Amino acid sequence: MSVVYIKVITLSSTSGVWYTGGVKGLRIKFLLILLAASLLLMFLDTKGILEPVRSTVQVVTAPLQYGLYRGKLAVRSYFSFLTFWKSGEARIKDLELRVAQLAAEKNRADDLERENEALRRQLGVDSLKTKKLLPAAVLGKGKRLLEINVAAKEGSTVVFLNNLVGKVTRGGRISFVMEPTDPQAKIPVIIGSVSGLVGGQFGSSMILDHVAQAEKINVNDIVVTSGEGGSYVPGLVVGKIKKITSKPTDIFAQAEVVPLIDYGNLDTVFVILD
Amino acid sequence: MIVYYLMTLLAVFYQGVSDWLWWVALVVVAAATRKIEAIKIYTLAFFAGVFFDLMMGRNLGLTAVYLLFVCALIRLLGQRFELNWQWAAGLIIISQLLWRINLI
Repeated sequence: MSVVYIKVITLSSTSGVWYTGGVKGLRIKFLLILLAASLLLMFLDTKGILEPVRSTVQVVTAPLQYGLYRGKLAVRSYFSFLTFWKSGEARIKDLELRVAQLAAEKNRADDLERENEALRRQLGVDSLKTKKLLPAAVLGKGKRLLEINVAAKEGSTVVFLNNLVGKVTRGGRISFVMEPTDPQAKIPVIIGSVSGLVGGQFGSSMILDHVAQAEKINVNDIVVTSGEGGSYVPGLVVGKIKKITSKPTDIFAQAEVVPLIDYGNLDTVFVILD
Repeated sequence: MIVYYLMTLLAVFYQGVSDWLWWVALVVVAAATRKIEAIKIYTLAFFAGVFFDLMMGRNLGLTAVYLLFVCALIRLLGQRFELNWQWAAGLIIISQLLWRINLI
């Protein structure tokens, strides 16, 4: 596609002729009218007056976007074998090891859950409430936003397999989800008993900050939402620590955190309902 | 002109997957570097911007302002200098970088 565009521009440049004729004042007036119209639209949109128009357009465009996104995922998975041969063998071995570790951990978790349940019954305490989830199809994935096909309330948390996918920043007929890797995202987290704050940065990773130097954090530690401040539901996996980036002399410990899921490969996510 | 509208439409739909203004801006800039009436180009920039914002859930009108400014700048430079597509692409890259660090 880029070749076509470049050719179009090259043709114009080789001709060396630029349109200068016509009434110059009229062109400037027209430009100013359009700029004024754009600013008026911005104003009306911030007041929420244009929401019905936006919703109507999205009814038409959503299926097209969904088709395009699914097409992209299909093409990507079809060609994934091209990159698989490089690291495939090592990844399979690593996954086998992890499966064995997880099987052992699940066994222990089951024992603890039974014990917990017995204690709850004995003490007469209710079980933890299960979260109500609303499934949503992913319509598109941007650098910073995920587009989903449900009308979610602004501020709702979006998850996939108990992993944090993000927070709804703009509701409507279609909702936009700000991923944890977005530079504007600030997520209170805990790593074991250590608390901190995860913020996105440009790219696919996050920075864990505001961890006291005296606290101990290690590579591969799982970072989980703490729910502090009420902006995110607690107990959701944000990612794991990839690298400790701070020096021992720094005031706070810092680390690079990577998500456990690939946001670009999701086709269904779940919105946590109140 | 209809080709540019179709290309813009395609580019905006592609943004639904990649979320970068690059392709839409490139189509509009390509139109701006052509010997096309300014009013038609500004109309294209306006509608491309509005449609892009509608699709991407951004503040409606913000991208239109950005595209209109880019088009006006390119036409202004085109009248004064022998502007070629490398210049246009360079301008787009710079404006994209400014956009990314939220200066525009």
